[in-house]
Amino acid sequence: MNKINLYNYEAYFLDYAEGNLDAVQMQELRLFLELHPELEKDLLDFQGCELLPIPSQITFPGKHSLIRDEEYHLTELEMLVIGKIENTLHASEELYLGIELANPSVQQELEIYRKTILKENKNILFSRKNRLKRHNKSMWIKYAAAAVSISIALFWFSSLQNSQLEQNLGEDKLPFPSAKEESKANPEQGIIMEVGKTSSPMQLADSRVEENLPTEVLERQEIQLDPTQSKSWKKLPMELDMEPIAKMDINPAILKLDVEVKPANEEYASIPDLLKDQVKQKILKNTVKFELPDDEKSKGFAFSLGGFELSHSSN
Amino acid sequence: MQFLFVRQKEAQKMTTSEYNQSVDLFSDKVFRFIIKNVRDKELANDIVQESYMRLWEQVDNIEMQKAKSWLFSTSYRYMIDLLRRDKRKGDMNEVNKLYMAHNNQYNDINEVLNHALNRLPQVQKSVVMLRDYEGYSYEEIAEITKLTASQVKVYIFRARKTLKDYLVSMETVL
Repeated sequence: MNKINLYNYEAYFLDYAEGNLDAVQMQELRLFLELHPELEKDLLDFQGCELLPIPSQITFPGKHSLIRDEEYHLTELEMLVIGKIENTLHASEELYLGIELANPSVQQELEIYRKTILKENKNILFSRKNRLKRHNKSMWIKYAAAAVSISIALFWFSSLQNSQLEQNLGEDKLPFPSAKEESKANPEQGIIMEVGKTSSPMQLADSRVEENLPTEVLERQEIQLDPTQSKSWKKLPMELDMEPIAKMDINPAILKLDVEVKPANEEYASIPDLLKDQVKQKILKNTVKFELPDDEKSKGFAFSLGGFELSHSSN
Repeated sequence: MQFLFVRQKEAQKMTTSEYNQSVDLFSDKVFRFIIKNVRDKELANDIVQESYMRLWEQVDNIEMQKAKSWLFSTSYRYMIDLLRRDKRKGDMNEVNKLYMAHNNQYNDINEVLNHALNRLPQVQKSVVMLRDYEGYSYEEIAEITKLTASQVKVYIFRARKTLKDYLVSMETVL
């Protein structure tokens, strides 16, 4: 420590109050106070700062309330009895309790503890179950919306196809009169003869000459288009349960195509060119009716229109 | 060398049908558990309803097998929050007379036992009800109440002691 002066005298005063100054420092302090007697008062103030020891009699009055009872006032026997009704006893504890139960008071204690087991009152019911239940409304709405959309789309598409078909089959666009008109014009000949009547007699005669076909011997033949059997030129038996073409989606581009007739050979009869357009018309109207000459009536015939290929055997 | 491939089973979500089934199966039990604690019919109704609403929000994350304990856990914690907030705990002025009248259907022992049950601290009452009404193990109760299994055991033992002392004090009943 440096010699005492006006800048460090407080530290000397504090050490003096605590009794930490040696004899030399005490002598220096005494000389300093003789030079500065006005500071003696400060030294007395430092001496008054000494703390008194805390009396041991002062205690916390609430100490007992803080103490926790580790055993929560249960005796060992009570622990065993409660453990018995809780089914938590080990074998050794069960054995010990069994011995204790020879005492009627312990038995009575066990019976009382058994009565502490709560019984559920099932008459108390929650009355708002229906409010809690959920339903898949969103899924129903989705399914219904999808079904309605599909129905509308199908209806619209079907209507569009029918209108296009009707438009294309209109009388002004067809090269031949309709079957209805033909029937009116020559009702006694029926549909078979209508084929022959579709062109003028001159045209018909010309075509017969060209094709060298007999005109008298005609045999009624009737076929219906079956799109499921239209992929080859094979002879196919006619099926009575064929789907009508009116239910099919007909690409309007088909109407612009020409009917291709399978060339006549041993297997197939020839079909007059005159009938090509008639065949086309009849294909689109679902029914094709025409006649075969006698010498070819044992043969089949075949033709195609666009994606449809059709053959028929007279057998 | 033989390899064993174990395919981890994915947690199955609850379907709407299973959720509705949980309403039928567990809502009465949860309601009884809550109303015994709060002794207020409307409050119990609200707590059960809120619990199921939370279940519906979590329906994609909860399996049907765990729905019951999830409901008890959720309703218990929600009830504790409400009781702390509203300081309804132990307020006999709010006892619903209608549901206290259910004691008429009990025999004498049960009536006394219900009185004794209402004197228990909240935690003791809850754990002993979960134990006796639902048959949950200490571990399951600990999971529901967020206590340890040891604490649950201590609370149940204390509750049994209190209930037994109350029954003994009612000598006329016994």
